[in-house]
Amino acid sequence: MKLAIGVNDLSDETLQFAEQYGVTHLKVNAGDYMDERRRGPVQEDKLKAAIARAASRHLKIWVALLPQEVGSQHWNIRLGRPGREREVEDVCRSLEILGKAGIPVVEYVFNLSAVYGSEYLPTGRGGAVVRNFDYGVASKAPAEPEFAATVEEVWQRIEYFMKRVVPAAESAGVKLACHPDDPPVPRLKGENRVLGNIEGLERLLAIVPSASNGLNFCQGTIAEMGVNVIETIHRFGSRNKIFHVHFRNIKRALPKFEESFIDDGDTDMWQALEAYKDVGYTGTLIPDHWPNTASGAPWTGQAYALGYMRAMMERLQVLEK
Amino acid sequence: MSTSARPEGGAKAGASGISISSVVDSAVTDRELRLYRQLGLDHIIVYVRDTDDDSYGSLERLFDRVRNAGFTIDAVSFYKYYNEQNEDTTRLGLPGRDKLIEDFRTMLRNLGRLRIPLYMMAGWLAHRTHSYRYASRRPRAMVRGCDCAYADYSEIVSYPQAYDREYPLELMWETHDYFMRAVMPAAEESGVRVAQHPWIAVPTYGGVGNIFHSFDAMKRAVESVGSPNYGFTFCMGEMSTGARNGLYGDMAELIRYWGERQRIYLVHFRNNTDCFPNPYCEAFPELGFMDMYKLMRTLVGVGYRGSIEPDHLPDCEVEGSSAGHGVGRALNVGYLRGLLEAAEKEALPRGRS
Repeated sequence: MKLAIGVNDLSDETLQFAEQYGVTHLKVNAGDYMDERRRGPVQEDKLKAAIARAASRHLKIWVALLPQEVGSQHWNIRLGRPGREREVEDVCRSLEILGKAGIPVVEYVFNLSAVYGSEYLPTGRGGAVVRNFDYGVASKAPAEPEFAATVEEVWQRIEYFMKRVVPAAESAGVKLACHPDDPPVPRLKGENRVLGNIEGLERLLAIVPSASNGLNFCQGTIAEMGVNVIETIHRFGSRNKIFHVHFRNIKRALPKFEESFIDDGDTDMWQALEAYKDVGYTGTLIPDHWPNTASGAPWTGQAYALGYMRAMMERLQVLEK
Repeated sequence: MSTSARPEGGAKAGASGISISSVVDSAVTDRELRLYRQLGLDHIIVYVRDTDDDSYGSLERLFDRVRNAGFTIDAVSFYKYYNEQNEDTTRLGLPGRDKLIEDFRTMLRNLGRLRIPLYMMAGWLAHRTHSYRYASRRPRAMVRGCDCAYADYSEIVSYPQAYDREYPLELMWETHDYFMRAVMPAAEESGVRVAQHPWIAVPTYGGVGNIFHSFDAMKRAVESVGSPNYGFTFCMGEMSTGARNGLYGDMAELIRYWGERQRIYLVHFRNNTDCFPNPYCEAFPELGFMDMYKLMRTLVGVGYRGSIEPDHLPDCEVEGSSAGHGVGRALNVGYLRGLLEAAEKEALPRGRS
């Protein structure tokens, strides 16, 4: 497995941190290589420059996340609106360019309101600031008129996307990794969220059965669902449906949960890592989210997670050097 | 699935009883203490600055502050006993050592009253050879883009004579035994243990004997001091310099030998890229010549119950940036936590649900 981090830029500081802290692979935002509105196809020259820059610090870009912001590359697809034909072309062209450049995993998100409803409170260990979510409060948020669609309409949009994009991913040689809806609640701000439970994820994989159709296994989101995390790793991992892992921990589950330091949550991370090993997973693990500490340096919590992950990955002999 | 709730705040109790601790000095800020709690540390080692008032009342205030921040204090040390004058007076047997012994006894009694279980010493060296050793560790090499401290055997053994005369090994043994025999009764009466710190595997350098240079020297010290309260800070970085020159030997065997005899009081957890007579760098734990998982597992297996302290790391602080201060320590503490949990899982399979 690959010890990786997600980065929002490739500044000297970011790359130096990654190299010094033992990271070998990166997850980047594909939107950074599109036009200024994070639309259109990935531009080959921008992507190549990024790959070269990362390589100068011995880092390999392994995962690219399609933009998830309002109005970005596949926004009209997510809303089932006119303009989506053009967006499908942009996504397919992006997959082709990413695949050609040697980036094997492309992550995407289908939900509309992201992690809406999260509050950042000093409830973590030693008063560290962590993400808290309470569905009792978040469910009262007013609906966005634009998000209104029945559950079946949402599925039709997903099917429209998958039927066109998965074949393109296959021919581009990339794996499409869906991030489950986080928070995995059925309804948020008027949006029906169908990818926040195991049945929904199974249905997604069944739309176009393909070795390129799989998951960004956000272990935090899976735990938020209240399901058995270890069994779920086996469920999807044994069928090679895990393409990228967010290796993070939380306390409790819906309707109310909070994030934690990697060693301080409810999931036994050693058992989780053993499960990834058992199913033969060899992709990337990133810390994803981490608590904000009193050090004032934003990467302290991430560094802690990287040390913890490395020690366990070395012991299980799964760390790709 | 293991979803058993863990206690709120502080690290979860490990099945082995081993704690991960950090060293702070008496000027530690409340913010730094908060950070260490957040990183899952609830044990700590306090160095008292030379300039601090070391009266009972002043120490009580310091220890209360640290304890109120949520820490158990595992050990204390005083820079006062390593300043040039005091270190040379006790180590070289100069006039005035009996006054320092009296101070040291008073200090141990104070620690006992303040419920501090351990006093930590830093080897038995003349001040100049103590400092030489630090000078030799200047950054000169890079590991993963970080400066790392470098030590060169040939340089250490060719240090010029540090004082106007030589202080041979036997003289250093005499001063050690004289001092320790004088202070240990006070330690025993006060319920305080004293941890000596083994040093590099070079018997003499700079014209001064370095008595803690081997396994045999550790045995000799335990026998000649003759106290059940006298043991060691197991400094893996320093002791491993003698892994292959016949002086210390294999680290796992050392852990088993001294662990079984209950003489390991603290552990400095560090790896080096190599050992004497070769030059080496102080490395990230996973990039050195020792298998740190095996050593952790040996500590768990031998029933060690004390603290493990992350020791020197390559300097990977990115100045003035998001990486900033404390980030290197977070990496190291996280690594140790992962290694300890893995060792507990495998050595004590029923330890944690």
